[in-house]
Order: sequence, then C-alpha cells, then structure tokens
Amino acid sequence: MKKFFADIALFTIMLITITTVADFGISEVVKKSDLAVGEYFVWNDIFSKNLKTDIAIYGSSKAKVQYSPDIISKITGKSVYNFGVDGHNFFMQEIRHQKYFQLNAKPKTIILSVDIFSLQKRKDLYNYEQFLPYLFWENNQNIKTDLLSYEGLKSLDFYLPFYRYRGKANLIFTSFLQINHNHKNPKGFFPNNKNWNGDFEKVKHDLLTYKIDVDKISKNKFLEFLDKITSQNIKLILVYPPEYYELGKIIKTRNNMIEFYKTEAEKRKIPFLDYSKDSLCYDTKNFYNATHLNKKGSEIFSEKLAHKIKNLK
Amino acid sequence: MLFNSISFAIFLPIVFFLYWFMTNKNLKLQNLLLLVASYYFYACWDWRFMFLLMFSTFLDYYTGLKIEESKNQNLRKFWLWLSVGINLGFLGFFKYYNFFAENFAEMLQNFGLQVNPWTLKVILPVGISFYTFHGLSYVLDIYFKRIKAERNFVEYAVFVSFFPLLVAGPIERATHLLPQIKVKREFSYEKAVDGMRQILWGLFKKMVIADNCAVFANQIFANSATASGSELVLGALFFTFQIYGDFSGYSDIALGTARLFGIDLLRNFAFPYFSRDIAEFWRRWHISLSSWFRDYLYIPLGGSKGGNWMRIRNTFAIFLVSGFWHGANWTFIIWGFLNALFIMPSIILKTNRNNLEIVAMNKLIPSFRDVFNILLTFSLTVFAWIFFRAESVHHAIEYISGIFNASLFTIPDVKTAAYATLILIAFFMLIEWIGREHQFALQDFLVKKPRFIRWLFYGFIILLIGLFLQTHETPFIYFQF
Repeated sequence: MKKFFADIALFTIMLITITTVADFGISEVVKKSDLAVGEYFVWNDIFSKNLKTDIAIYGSSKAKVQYSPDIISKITGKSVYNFGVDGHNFFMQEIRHQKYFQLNAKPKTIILSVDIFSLQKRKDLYNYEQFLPYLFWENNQNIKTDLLSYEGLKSLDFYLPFYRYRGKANLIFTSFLQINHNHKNPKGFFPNNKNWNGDFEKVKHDLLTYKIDVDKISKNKFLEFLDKITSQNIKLILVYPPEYYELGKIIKTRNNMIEFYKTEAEKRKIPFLDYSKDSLCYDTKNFYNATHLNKKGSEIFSEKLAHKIKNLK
Repeated sequence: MLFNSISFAIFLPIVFFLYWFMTNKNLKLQNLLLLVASYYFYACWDWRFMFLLMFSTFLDYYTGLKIEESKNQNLRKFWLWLSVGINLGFLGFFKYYNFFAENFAEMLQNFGLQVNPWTLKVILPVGISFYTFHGLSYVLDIYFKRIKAERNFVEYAVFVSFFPLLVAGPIERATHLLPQIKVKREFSYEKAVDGMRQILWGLFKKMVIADNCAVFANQIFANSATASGSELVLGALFFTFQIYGDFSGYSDIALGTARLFGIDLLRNFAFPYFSRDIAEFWRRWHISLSSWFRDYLYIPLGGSKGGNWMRIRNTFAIFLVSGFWHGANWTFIIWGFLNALFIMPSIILKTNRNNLEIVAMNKLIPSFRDVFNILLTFSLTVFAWIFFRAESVHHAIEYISGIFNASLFTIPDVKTAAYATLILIAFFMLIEWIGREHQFALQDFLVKKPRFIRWLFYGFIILLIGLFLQTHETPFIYFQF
C-alpha cells in the first residue's frame, strides 16, 4: 500500500511538472497568435512591463476601433496607446487598467471613452480566451476576484497548471497555425474597413424598448476611478464618441447617461468631450454599424479629437 | 454520477480510503461500505429509482431462497416465474411500454381503427437492463442448481449493485462475483496499478475518442439529408469509434475501479474491431451480454445441438432479442437482424469458431488475408451501426441511400477538427493493436521500459484527455439501455 501511495505521489509530482511545462509552452504559442480579436497584442504589451505612453485610451470596442494612436500622436506630439477592450464594459476596462498600472509606468493623460453600455456589466466572460495565457501566472488578487465575478472561469484556472486549457485543443492548434509574424505593433488600434451593414434597420424596432441597466458595482468602480485618477495628477478626459444619430432618437434613456457623465465630470473638473451630436453622426459612410465608426470615420474622429486635446489646458 | 466527472473523482478516493483503511479488518463492514457507496452512487442519478433497485434486489434474494428451499418442482417453478415475471415486467414497463402502445395503435390503424396510443412519460431508470439481468441470471442459476442461494443479504446486494458495474455492466454472474465478495480482499499493488492503467485508458477512450467522434457523428447524422456520400461514410465511421470508445471506455473504467477494490469483473471487450469475422466480433464485443444470451437463451433453446435449422432459428432469436434489449426501437431490432444475417454463413458452414486465437499472434503486422478479413468484418459492422445510430428505420435507409452516389468520391466538407479526430483515432487504434494480446491496450504497454518513460507516456495521455475533453459532461451511451 505504501508503495502504491508513494508512486501516486511521485507520479503527481511528475504530472504537475509536465503540465506546468506544457502550460508555459502553450501559453507562449497562444499569446503570439492573431486570435482573440487582437487582444493578445495589448495584454502582451502590458505584461512586457515596458509600456511607456503619454496618453492612454480606455474604453470598449468603440475605443479599440475608433481612436487611432498614430493620428492622435502625430497631431499632439505625444505617444499614444489604445487599451480598448472588445465586447466589455467599464468593469473589464478597469481590470485592464489595474494590470497596466501594476506593471508599467503611468501615463500623463487617460482618455476614457464612455457610452451608454459602459456602466452595464455582462454576465459572461466574453472572448475569455484572451485571458488564458496569463491566468496561471496572475498574482493580483483583486483581478482574480473581478474576473471570477463573470461566468466562465473557475478558481482552479488560476492555480492548477494547464487546467484552463481543458478542451481547448482547437484554440491551441489554431494558435500554432496563426502565429503573428507581423512585427508592427498596432498599439491596440484595430480599425474596421467595412461599410454600413444595415443591421440597424433590422433592430430599430427592438431598440425602442431597450433599457439601460446600470450595474451598481460598475457605477461605483467608475466613480472611484474618476476620483483616484484625478488624485494621482493624471489628466483624465471623458469622451462620448460619435454614434449614428438615429440611435439617440430611439434609445430614450441615452441622454440621461450622457448627462450623468457630464455631471460627474463637471463635479471633478474633468473635461467631457461630447461627440454624440457631431457632424460625423449624420452620415452612414462613417460607420459600419450604428455604434462603431469605420476606418474612414475613425480617422476623421481621431483628427478632430487630437486637435481638441491639443488645445485643452 | 458519471465516471468522467469531478464528483466521481472525489467519490472514488473517499470510498477507496474508507475501504482499505477504515473497514479493512472487518469483511462485513467492508461489504456494507460497498453497498452504501453503491446506493449513494446510484441515488446521485435519481434517488427515487433507488427503491426500485432495492426492491428488485430483495425480490431476487427472496425468490432465490424460496426456490432453493422448495422441494416441490411446481413450487420452484412458481418462485422462478414470479421473479422472472416481475423483473421482466418492470423492464417491459419502463423500457418498452411506449413502444408497444405506439405499435399496437399503428397496427389497429392499419385495420382502419383510429386510436390514440396511450403513451406515458416514462423515465427509464438508469442501469435497469443491467441489474435486471444480474438478478435473472442469479435466480436461473439457483433454479438449474448451478449455485446455492446466497443467505447474506448484504453480500447479495453488493453483487447486484456494486457501483462500478451498476449502471452499464459488465453483466456479472453470481458464480464469478459472489465468491469474491464473500472472501476477505487483500490489497495488491500490481492489481491496483493495473486498475489505474485501465481507468486511464478507459478515460482516454471515452473523453478523447468517443466524445470527439460524437461531435461529428451527431452533426452528420442530424444533417444526413444534405450530406455528401463521403461525409455520410465519415459520419458512420465516427459513430463506429464513438460507440466503441464510449462503451469499452466505460467497461475499462468499471473494471479498473473494481480492481482498486481487489475485485475482478468479467471482461467486456477484447479488441472487437480487429475481428476477422462476425462470429469473432461477437465473441469480443459486449462479451458479458453475448455470453448471457448464450447461456440463458441460446442454450436453453437447444443451442446448436438440433441441426442447421435450429442453429439458424436460435441465432436469429438471440440477435433479435439482443437488438431489442438495447432499446424500444425498430432500428435496434434491425441492427440485431443484420448481425444475425452477417453471422449466418459461418453458422451454416460451421466456421464460426475458426478465429478463436488473437489475430497475428506474436507478430507486429498481420497477413494480407487477415487485413482483408478485418476490413470486411469492420465494414459490415459499420453498416449495421448506421441502423443502431439512426433515429428511425426511415432515417437509416435515407442515410444509406445517400452514401451510394457520385458524391461518395468527393472530399468530405468537414471542419479541420474532424481530421484531427481521425488522427486521434489512428493513434488509438495503433495502441490497441500493439496491446491486443492483453486484457486492455495499456496493460503491458511500455511496461518493460524504464518507469520514467512509461510515466511520461501516461502524462501524455492525460494531456490529451485534458486538451480534447468536452467541457460539458457527456453521459455514456449505454446508460440509456
């Protein structure tokens, strides 16, 4: 019996070694791939601990596809990095902010792109593959707790090597096939070259009854974030980016959200740049859907924004 | 509680610990622990049916004693038929009631009588086909005076409900399992390690082969009307490996688990896809069921003693009953019928016991003749599995007719992952081929190599299981039977 248990213990040690090595190897491959909507680029830059930027752009997919670091950098003369995270609200944007601040030099300015969805919180951990290569090595307890508040991860994902890759053969093999060899860093900006897709016409009717459910925790996090950043001598700018104008006509509570952002910004003397009625909003040629500018629209918007920022005191 | 679940991974070590460390000095206590653990294991599915299991156990225990005690032959017969009647009555009600109700209504409709079948939403108690057969073999063996009735209820109840075999077999015999339950078990390092290896291989078969094949088999069978001939062939192949991986995987885990408790269960699979004829296939596939039908149906019907016609009749009888045992659907009956047809030439020509030894014994590569025979037998088996898997006979016929057209020679339009699964199948069959002279493929694999190499291989298998497992729990196919 003793021999049996000794063998089990020895085998377990060997298995942990094998899975740790496999975990490391797989993580290295996965994070070098083009998958997860380009999020690996941003996470890798954050985890490199060498990310130095003057201006950091935060937000959702709207930030990710609309704020061109190159254009803003060219006009303002400052380095810019886009931290926009696809498909997620402020709750997740704040997780990325935590990690960025934990490992890298702080920026001089943060542009926080807000919208009607910012203070909602989705239940599922959308695009959760983007977190996989980093979870086992994560040491920030707050981040672990925040990530576990979504449906999709388990505590063991953080503590057992390889466990989080269970059933992920497809992701791993696709990663092998899609390792990115392009060394140009997109700095978190992934513009979309598509034209207006017309989906808006189909969902217009449903949007009439759309209700914005503000998540209390997200709202508190947001207000804490505003206070904390302003207290750290970092310049914070809130931006409400352009949306297709009909959206404002349909979603009745949209104006309340804009008003909320404006009021909270004013309370803290934070500039609030509202592009919700900008001329860009009235032409579908600038959008690929009602809430996202396409490449052409994003370039015009980035230019406008850069000039505005440059002229801010 | 599934073998491939976290709850079982917690349950098993706890029972193992209690078994060898807390109750090992007292056989009665050890058996009681096995019984409680087995009932808990069963109650995890549906505690209500635990009472049915208990009733069935008590019925067979009591009637077994009564058969033995009765001096009068008529009385012995009475107790036997009481047990057989109630057991088959339960099985018939839970498993076949709707089938008969629907078919009866359909038959009346053919005579112009419009009736709505009085169907019930009957839930099939998991494992009922298996534990009913345990009990039946027990009372039949007592009736035919092959064994003595068991007087210790706990020991008898463990024989019926020992958790590794409770829900999907192997179908045990009292002559084989009861003596093991009645004697003190000693821990054997070799047996336990062998059991661990068998569990590992079983998990690989289930979680890597069966569950991944199931993804594509389900897709192709669900969309068979629009699939090309080559895709339909691929779908049938995927199901062929799915059902083998699933059921033999379950059996391996059951046998391996039992070994951890010092108990040997009957072997259920012996590399059936390397069979050179259908008779050999049926000596290697679901062995415990085949031998049950042989001993309790084929032989009592006269077996092969009464000439060719009787052999043919009896062979059809056991295959049709075997098909029906699998489920209340004509697809299973036709599957049984097809197998009876396939085996018929060897029954008539009396060549059914030609291939008793292991294929290409002590050789790495089989002869051309063996390869040809294996491929032919395999093709027939794949063809029959189409009926087994199809939703209805109409679906099966539509599926088969979809195969035989020009699209059979096109490249199947399937996801890349399907090809990855084919590579896994090739790896699986290679290991099975290498290990075919043993009880299970991993039993002797790399055993003569240094331990480090062998353990690395086991680590590799565990990694494969981890990478390819389905993130949701996937029940075993045979739980529905």
